[in-house]
Amino acid sequence: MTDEQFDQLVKRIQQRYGSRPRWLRARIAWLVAVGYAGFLAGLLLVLVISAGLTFVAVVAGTEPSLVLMAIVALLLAFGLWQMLVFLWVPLKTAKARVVTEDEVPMLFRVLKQLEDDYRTPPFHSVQMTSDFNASVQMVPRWGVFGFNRTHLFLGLPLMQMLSPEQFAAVLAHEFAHSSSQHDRFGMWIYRLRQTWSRVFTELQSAGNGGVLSSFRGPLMGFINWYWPRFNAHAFVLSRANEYQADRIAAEWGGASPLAQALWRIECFGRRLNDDFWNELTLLARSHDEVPEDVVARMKAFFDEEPKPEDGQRWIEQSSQFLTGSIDTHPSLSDRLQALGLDVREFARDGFPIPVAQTADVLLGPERDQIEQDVNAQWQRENRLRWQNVFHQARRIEKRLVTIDGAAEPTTLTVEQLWEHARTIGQLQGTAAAEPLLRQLLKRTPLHGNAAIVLGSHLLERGNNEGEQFLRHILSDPEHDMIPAACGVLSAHFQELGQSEKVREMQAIVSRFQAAQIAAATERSVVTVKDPFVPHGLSETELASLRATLAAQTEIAAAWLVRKELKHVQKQQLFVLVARTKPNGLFGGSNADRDRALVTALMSSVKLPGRLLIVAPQGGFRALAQKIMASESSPIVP
Amino acid sequence: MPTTVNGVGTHYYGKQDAASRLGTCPHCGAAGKLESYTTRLWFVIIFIPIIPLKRVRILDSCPRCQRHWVANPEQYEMSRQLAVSGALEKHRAQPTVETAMVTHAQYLSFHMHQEADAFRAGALTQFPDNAELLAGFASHLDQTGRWQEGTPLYEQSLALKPEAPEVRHSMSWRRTNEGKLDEAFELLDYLRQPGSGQSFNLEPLNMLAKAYQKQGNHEKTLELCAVYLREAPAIGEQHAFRKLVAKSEKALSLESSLLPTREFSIRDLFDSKSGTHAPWVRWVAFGSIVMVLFAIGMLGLNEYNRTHRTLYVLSAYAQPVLVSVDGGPAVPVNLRTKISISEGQHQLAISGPVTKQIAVDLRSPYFSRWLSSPIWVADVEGLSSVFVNTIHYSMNPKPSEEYWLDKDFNFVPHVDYAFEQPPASLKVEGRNTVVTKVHLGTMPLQPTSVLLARIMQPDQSVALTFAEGHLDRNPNDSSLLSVYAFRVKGDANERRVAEFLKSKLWRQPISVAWHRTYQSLKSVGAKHAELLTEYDAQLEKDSNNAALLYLRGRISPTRAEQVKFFRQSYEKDGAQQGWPAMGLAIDAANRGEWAEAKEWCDKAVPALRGDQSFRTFWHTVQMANGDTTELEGMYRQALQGTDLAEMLSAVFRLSDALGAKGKPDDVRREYLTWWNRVSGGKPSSNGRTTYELMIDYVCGDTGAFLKKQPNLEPKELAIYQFQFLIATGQPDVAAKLPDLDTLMDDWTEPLALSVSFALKGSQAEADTWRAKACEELRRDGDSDAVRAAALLERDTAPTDAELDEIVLRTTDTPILLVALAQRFLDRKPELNQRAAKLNVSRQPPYLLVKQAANQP
Repeated sequence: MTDEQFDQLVKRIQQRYGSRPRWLRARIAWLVAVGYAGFLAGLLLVLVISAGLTFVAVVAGTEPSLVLMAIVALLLAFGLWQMLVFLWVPLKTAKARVVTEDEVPMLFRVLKQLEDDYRTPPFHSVQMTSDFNASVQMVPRWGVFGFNRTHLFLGLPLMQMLSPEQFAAVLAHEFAHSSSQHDRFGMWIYRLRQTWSRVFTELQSAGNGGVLSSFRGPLMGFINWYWPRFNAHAFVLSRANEYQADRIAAEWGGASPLAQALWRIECFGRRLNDDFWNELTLLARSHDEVPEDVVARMKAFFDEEPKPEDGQRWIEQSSQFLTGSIDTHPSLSDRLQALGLDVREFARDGFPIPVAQTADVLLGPERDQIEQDVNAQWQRENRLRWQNVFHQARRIEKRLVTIDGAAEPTTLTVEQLWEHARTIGQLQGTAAAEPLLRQLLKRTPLHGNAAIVLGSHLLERGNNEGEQFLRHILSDPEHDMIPAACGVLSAHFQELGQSEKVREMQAIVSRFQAAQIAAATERSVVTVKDPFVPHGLSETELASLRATLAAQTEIAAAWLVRKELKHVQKQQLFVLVARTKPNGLFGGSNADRDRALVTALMSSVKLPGRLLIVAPQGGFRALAQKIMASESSPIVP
Repeated sequence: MPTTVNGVGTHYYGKQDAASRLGTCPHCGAAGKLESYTTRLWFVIIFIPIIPLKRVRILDSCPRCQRHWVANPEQYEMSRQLAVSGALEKHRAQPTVETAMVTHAQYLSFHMHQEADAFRAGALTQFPDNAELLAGFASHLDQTGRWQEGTPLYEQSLALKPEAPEVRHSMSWRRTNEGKLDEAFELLDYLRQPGSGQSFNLEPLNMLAKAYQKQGNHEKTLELCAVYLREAPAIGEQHAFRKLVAKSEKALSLESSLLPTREFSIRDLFDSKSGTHAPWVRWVAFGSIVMVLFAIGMLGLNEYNRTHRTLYVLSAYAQPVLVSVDGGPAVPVNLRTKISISEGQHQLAISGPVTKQIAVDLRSPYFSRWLSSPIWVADVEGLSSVFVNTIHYSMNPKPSEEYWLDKDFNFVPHVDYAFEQPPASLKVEGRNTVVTKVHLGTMPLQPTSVLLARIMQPDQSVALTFAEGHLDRNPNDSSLLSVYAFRVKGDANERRVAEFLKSKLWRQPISVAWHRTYQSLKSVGAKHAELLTEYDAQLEKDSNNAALLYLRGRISPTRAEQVKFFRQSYEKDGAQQGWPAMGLAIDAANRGEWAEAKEWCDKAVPALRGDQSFRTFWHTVQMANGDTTELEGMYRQALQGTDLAEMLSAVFRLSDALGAKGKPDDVRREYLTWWNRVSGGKPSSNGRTTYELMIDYVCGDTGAFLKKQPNLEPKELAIYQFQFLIATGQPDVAAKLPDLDTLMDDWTEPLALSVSFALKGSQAEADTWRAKACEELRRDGDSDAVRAAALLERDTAPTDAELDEIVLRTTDTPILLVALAQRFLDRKPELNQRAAKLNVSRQPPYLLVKQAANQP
């Protein structure tokens, strides 16, 4: 199921069950039951067969059958083996800096209070990361059957940006998902969806299986059918759970700290993505040593005030971003609205300023050591990636030297110019390649790759000129890059909160894809039932064709028509019927000569479109006769 | 793929539009000339094409394994033309490197190699020195197995763009295969850079490392492995990689290893794709699980077998027997009931016709529970005739072994066929193979046979209860009635029999057999007058009842009255019951009128053919008339049956008939044939059996007896020993036989002894035994017997009329007549003549009577 189909399914479910939450829950409960039944079907089948054979071997038989018992053991072991390998999907827990209660008592005091208030079991581990995020990871011990270990991951940068109250509100939101106090079924489905999501992703990618992978085919078939349906229903419920978790967290610590936390996370997150990580990537391209102070760099980055225009752009993006169908988390504006707050009030206060004392308060004297460990962890995890970026940059540099030495940009061909721009973009960032891209698009406005790269770069910078480049692609309804252009524009409009334009982009993509599929189907086959029209060649083209045909001494007559196409009409499809001269005693033709003529014509005839050449006899006889019967089709003699 | 079996199936014939290319078969991996062509699939018989099935396009047919792809020729042709022309048109409209590569790929994908070669040449002219195009074309050629043609293109591309990883990759592969490992090593420098695993496939490192190891350059192997491990630490878990590293480390005798400690994962152990263990380890693990499951299953099976043992409870009683195990609910047993019971000690409570408790202990060895099917059999009072037959199936027949289960509770360690018929034959492998099966079954005996065997035991109560149950259900079973009434011993048992018979005497409809038996009881003989009153009373109610008329006639005090009632009964009944005809036949036989007796017998045969007492009489009549051919056939047929009582009767009568014809050899042959059948071929014990003495007797072979006599035990086979002794002039020896008293329960034996003594001239002993015989006759109570005693005791010879009045068993009358002849010498000739006329059956005391009757 494509993302778009999934999106439509989510919308249909929302429309159907929007006013009937009980029916939605009933439907999801049914889907869960179907899911477990499906997962266990193979095992049940094996168990039933084994039980039957055991009955025959032990009870029904007149004497004990050791052979049957051995078969039962073999069958059972095989079934268990297959199911074990298939359904027991190993998911690795992310490894970060584990903190203990002895080490950071204040943090655990807060966590303990939340555990008590929400009646949740303690996490199996609490770990500090370098992410700008706080999350709970559930790792199922038994694959699809769950039995999770839960780990709490706390980003040190997040702790550095929020006040203690705001950070506690974020924790409260995460705890609410694990709470047994509120909407147990809904929260269970939320967790189940998360677990299954990981398991199925692993299953679909790993291609794991037993020796014979006997159960893999049917089970994967079931999962491919089942998972999008369950996911879509659970998605709708999970989104409601997000609102509920926000409400519960607001009740616990107040709406204001939670709202402030959400606002800060949204704004700082955008700033990180747009600037910090891009700068770090550029650093990787020039320095092979991995930084050992990424957390401090992040703090220093936030301590600097952003440029006013950038700050304003991130504020607008944060406050206007629309709720999508990828993430169960609603948009910031929707979440604040659900808490009874208006995002515009936060926007009016300008870009937020970091509040640095939370990490000191919660981590106490161990803070520095923890930060050092988190940095080291980040360094370890990213060393190879970093060095790869560095060495790739060196390879690209070599290419750049070659291109630079080749000629002046103005004298380069379109392809060379694109290669030059792409190389500079990879090495120095898109901003450095912008002049070359503009030059390229000036020469070839419909150059898809250049338009996409430049358009998306400009839109990221808040420059609406990027939309023009992208829309230019859309002006050609048969342009190959339409889906990519629509994807960039759709994301842009979503950030701006322009839902109608988002839908417009989605509609364009749908139309394009449908037309492409239909056109491909239409051009892949010619049958006697197809409608044919006169070939429509110009006199010059026709003369050229006749000359080509005349070069073939074997040809006696030829007919040419064009298939009437409904989709992407500029791509034409011709059908040429070529008949050989009669020979032999009775003046007949033969298949070998016809085939030889068709082969010869295939490499010599050049028409502005696809071409099917057939002989009047053989497998295409009916088609050829229909074409030959057409008055306008004869071209030779 | 077309397939033929013995020349029948499908086959391709014809080849058109053929094209071929050099390449590697994707199925078998063999390099060779792969052929594509259009052909036709035929249904063939003996490889002769019979029915054309379809035209097909064969793609890349491998000359080695013959495997190929198949397509519809028209669809294939259409797809080929449209796809290629579409790509060409696009390339012509906008000639770029990308469109050139797409077109080239389209040509190759449709096996248009010549066209692809031409196009490639043109495109390389159009885009000279384009490294991407060269590499792309080379890659296409690689994918179609044309490695050698791709090499110069890669080399040109590498010269133009030395940093291109995909070209270096392909070239390194070639150099590795060529054995130029150092060149390959240099080409892979991009993979040795830190972080390369983030972007590139590291497999060339592994391949090169293996090649180095093959050349013995372990340092280089480890260097490359270290790079691989650094870039992809997960490879350290892979079994093949670890083996590679370990081999080189061992070759270099390194103390430390670059391999990480492997984390054990149960799941990975079973996942073939995890690659963490060698295949054999996975199979061992799988085998272990199978073994564990099998062991669990076997333990469960053993326990199940232990707790679900088979106990058969058998009862030959006609009445249902109730069996309760350990005080549980009572289970009715009609003939046979299967009870599932656990091993251990149990208490069986049996109620119904018999009440008793049986303590049973079911046990079997632990390991035998898997291999054997033991059965426990509780045979109530041992009446069911249960046998265990061990049958050997083989090419060379081997006799089976059989034994009887004669206890109340029996254990059979293994049974293959429990109370079911084993197959007559089994398929055995090999000439010398013997398949042994155990059959547990019951001999389908008639109640009479069972009773015969059981009533011989000292405690007759079980036998009587058994018989009463069956008689209650089948009151006309004359043979059972006979054994029940006349084999009983002891006053108490005799009273029990009399009371039982009397209690159901007047049950409707009247059972003639039942009444005949009752009338014949000794204790009833003296009460015939009372019985007559009862019959008369019954006849007053139902004067046309033929059975009552017959029965009334049987106990009439005079012969004239008897004959009158028999005739009345016959008139009422015709030959329906046969009894009056038999009565009249006996009357005629008593007078020595055998022809008349035969006439009456013939009338009785249809109704009384199955009655034992009639058949005994009929046998005598037929013998007297010298017409035993029909009987011999019947007896031989009976010997082939399974009813023991029938067989025994048949043995005696057939011997009798053949003996009378003077065919001693036939007698002995018939006997041996039958004996071998019933005994399973076991030799008889030195000619001492009852049957052999009986045969000697009916053949009149006193010499054989005298020869055997020294070896006979005094108690052995008392009846025939006694009869031979008195027939060979040894009455004094006979009189001293240990079990003589048991033989003297009838009047014939003492009278025979008296006759024998008289023949020997010992008149005093003769008188003593005659007096004892008279005593027995009187005890019999029957009016005929009383009259016979009176004749023996009085001083005047009996007249013929008086003799006619005495109607005894036909076989008993001759001994009475010779005894009277010895006493009344004045009528001796007439009496001996009459005795000789009646002495027809060769059974005892035939020889004595014959000897006495022949004495002048």
